[in-house]
Amino acid sequence: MTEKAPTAETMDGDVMSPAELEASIRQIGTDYYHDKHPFHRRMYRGDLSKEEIQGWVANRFYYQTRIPIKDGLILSKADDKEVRREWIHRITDHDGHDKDRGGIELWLDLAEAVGLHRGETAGLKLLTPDAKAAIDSYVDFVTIHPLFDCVAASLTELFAQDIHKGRLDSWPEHYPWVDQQGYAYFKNRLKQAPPDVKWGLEFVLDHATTTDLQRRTREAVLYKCGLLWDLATAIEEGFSPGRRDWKPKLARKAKLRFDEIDKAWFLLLPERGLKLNESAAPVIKLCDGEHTRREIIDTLIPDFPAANPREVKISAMIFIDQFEEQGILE
Amino acid sequence: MTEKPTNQLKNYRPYNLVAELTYKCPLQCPYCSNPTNYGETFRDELSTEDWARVFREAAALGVMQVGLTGGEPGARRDLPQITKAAADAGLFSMLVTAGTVFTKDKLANLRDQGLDSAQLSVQDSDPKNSDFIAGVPSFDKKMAFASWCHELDLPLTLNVVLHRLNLDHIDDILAMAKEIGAHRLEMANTQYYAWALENREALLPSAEQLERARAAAKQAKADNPKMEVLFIIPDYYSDLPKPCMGGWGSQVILISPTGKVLPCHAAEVIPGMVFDNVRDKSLSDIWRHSESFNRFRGTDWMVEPCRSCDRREIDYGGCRCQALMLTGDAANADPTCHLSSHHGIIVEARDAANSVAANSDTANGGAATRPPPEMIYRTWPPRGPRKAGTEPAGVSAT
Repeated sequence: MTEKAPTAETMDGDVMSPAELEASIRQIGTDYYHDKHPFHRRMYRGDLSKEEIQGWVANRFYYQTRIPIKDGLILSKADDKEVRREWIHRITDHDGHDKDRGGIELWLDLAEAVGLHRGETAGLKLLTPDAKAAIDSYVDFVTIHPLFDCVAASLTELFAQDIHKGRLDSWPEHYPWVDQQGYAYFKNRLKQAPPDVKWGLEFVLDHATTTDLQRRTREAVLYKCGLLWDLATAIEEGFSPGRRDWKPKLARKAKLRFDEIDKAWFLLLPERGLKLNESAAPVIKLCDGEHTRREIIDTLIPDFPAANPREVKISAMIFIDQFEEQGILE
Repeated sequence: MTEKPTNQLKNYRPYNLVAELTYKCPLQCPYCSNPTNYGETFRDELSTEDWARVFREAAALGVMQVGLTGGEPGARRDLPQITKAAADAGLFSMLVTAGTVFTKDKLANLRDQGLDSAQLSVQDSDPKNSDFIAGVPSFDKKMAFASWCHELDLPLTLNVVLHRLNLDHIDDILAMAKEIGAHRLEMANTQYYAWALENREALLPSAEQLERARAAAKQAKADNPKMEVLFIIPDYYSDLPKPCMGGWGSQVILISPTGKVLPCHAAEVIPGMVFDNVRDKSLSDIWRHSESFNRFRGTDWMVEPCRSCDRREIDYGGCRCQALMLTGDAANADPTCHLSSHHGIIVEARDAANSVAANSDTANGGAATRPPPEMIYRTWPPRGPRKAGTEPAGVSAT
């Protein structure tokens, strides 16, 4: 919402070089990947309760179960046997083969390590409707989109390395009650994901030679970031008390003023003032204690017709989170 | 002085007004930023109506924030009316106070008149040392003030001026800020103007003290995202000058108790400079056209090394008052700059502070227990400097 990578609209006309396209994909990750989500930020800071961690693990399990299904759908779209040979191991990585138990079982190990019942997790007892809807939409996406878009959407794995590594680094310190046995999934992904994502990136950069394909690349990556974001929001609203109904409002120390001289909104705080840009001001104006975050976002999206709604949603939530962290919103 | 073309003023906007309501203060801090000589007209304070008009003019000029300060602003009986006038003008107001002259009811009244926040000065986390630096027993009253802010939901900034005698207590100061629920903790090291320059030898810290405190402040900032933590080093330990007041006559207006309009706290030390008074002229007229505000705007007034320096529009040559006090000419580069030919003065003062440090145990709070240094305390009414240990002068709000 502030100064981000060029939107699809502004990209029309010039074809980017592969390096430029890769940089623009990575910029989407920098701006919109779910490591910026308030729930994940709290996870890394060690602020989540046991119930919140359990809620995340239980709901993410459903995502693990859908991965081989969406990969099966993607596989069915590939005419080139070389593509199928490359893609098929993504299914066995999760389902397992021979003595390798696969990612789904490893995730259930994690579930047990955080104190969940293996059978209840597998039975999706804690799955929330919003989390299920977000995850199912990914299967729907790969059902209706061509192979190219599906491979492009998988590129969010580019940004996942840090998140897996971050969990391995920070969990033992912040959540010592989690059984170390549970970390095998994260460790495995650190090994499995890099070659996959390298292949996927090369595939996309090789094929995205027109402005239209480059636009679709960016939209697919942004779509996937939005999906992961919605999943995090669903888990947060399901397991973090008070978050679903939270109606952000300005803290006592902050005052919103329209300045006639600069023709801009200012947020006045003790001994400092923040001049709000055209993206930030509408968000703050809606933080009046009368609207939940969802309502704020639903109101904002029509006000930014030129922007991708996912960009508006994620940017607004990051903005609200940062201001909450600084004690400006409460 | 001719009028500056309007286009040159377009980047100048006074966002902040420092309203010094009175020079009266029950405290006697030896680093007070009030002038060491208040002048003969110190009792001739602006009236409530004067301030109300000034606030309206300030708001029209672009001021958004006003600090109601002094001296001790609570020494003015019309503080509620002045506070209301600031709110009526649409200004975001902050009461900058030592916190010793209030009751909870008085503070509640100020809040009800529209006060937006309070900044409380505390001289140290150690009650005895705090009282010693303030020159009068005051710590307990300050803690009571802080608790009222909390109870009245009045956002509180804790301001601890740092120096040799309290820097080693930084961990306790940080803990105190958390305990009293401060939204913001300002830890600005003493800068050596006015009363502080008289006491530089007693107050200037060692490099080691400063570095330890800076690291602690940095950690506290990371640990407490909800509390703003500000740590400002003394100019004497910076090799590059600061952009004083964001540039002369650029962002801030200060009005003295008697109505003089100044670009900064210390500007009155500059000889030959005439400061207009809000009793005679409108604030807008003074901001735009006065000789004093235009004197050091832009870069035309600069001499070398500033004149050809790449940083001339970053730091504007530093502090004019410091340049005057230490080099004798306000147009010189601030001697805290390593490029100043007078920088040796700074290095010498710093070296002296570090050699004293080597001879005394300042770790483990040793500063508070070593013999009190000879300090000159600020006095009220103004009757010349007073040495430590003599009878404190009483304050009268009448």
